[in-house]
Amino acid sequence: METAQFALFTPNSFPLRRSQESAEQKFARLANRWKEESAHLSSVERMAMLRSYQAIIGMGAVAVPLLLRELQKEPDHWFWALQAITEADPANGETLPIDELAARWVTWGQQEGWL
Amino acid sequence: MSIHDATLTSLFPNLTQAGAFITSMSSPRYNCIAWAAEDQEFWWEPASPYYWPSRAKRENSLNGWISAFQTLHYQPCATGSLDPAYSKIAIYVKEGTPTHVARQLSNGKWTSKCGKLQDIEHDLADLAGVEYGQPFIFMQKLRQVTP
Repeated sequence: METAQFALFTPNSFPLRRSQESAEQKFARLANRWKEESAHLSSVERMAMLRSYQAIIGMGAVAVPLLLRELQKEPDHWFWALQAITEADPANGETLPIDELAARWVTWGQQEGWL
Repeated sequence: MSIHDATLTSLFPNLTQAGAFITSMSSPRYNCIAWAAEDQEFWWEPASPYYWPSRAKRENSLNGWISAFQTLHYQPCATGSLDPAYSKIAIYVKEGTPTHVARQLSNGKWTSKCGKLQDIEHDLADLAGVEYGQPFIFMQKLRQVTP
């Protein structure tokens, strides 16, 4: 009986451990969570303080191409994360609509070899 | 069309299917402040690289949001009651922090852009609650009369 109970809880029956995630899997998990949690917020400041966003910043350089690919798919407020990680500012201080901000970052990413 | 959107109704339980309507698609391109200012081109945020009126206080506070609308000739008023002579906005506040702005329509209802989600037409109380707090500050400006 004890052996049968143990067999119900073998490691393969658990969800993938976070430590076994690839960077892409971790990013996808965090990005999806951030999109859900930030959808109704009107403040990028509040969006950027969400744990999921902070965790993406914490991923560092490995997140840069992933963030840029997100911007290629659909513009969203990833700009502060990219600035925090890369210290770049393709907007050069200009105020731009987010479609153009996204395009500037993607162009920057292509020029810098991130994409 | 009434609201059957699960995301909106889970965030804002006061939204009633009979009284509130979705009036646009979701978009990350503009937020509630922009929509209340009748701008769909920019996301309004008092920090680079986003748009914020140059003469407004560049702070994400109630005073900052009030000053942004003052640059559009809005001034604080007592209530959100309908007055045909005035355009009105309502700033929602939660724990002293502004969370949302709605703009009044000529039929007395309100229109809101819920963050990156859709525009909706609603009553003020429909968005009151855990997420946005309560409508706390009302502002008005003389309605432009087209000849």
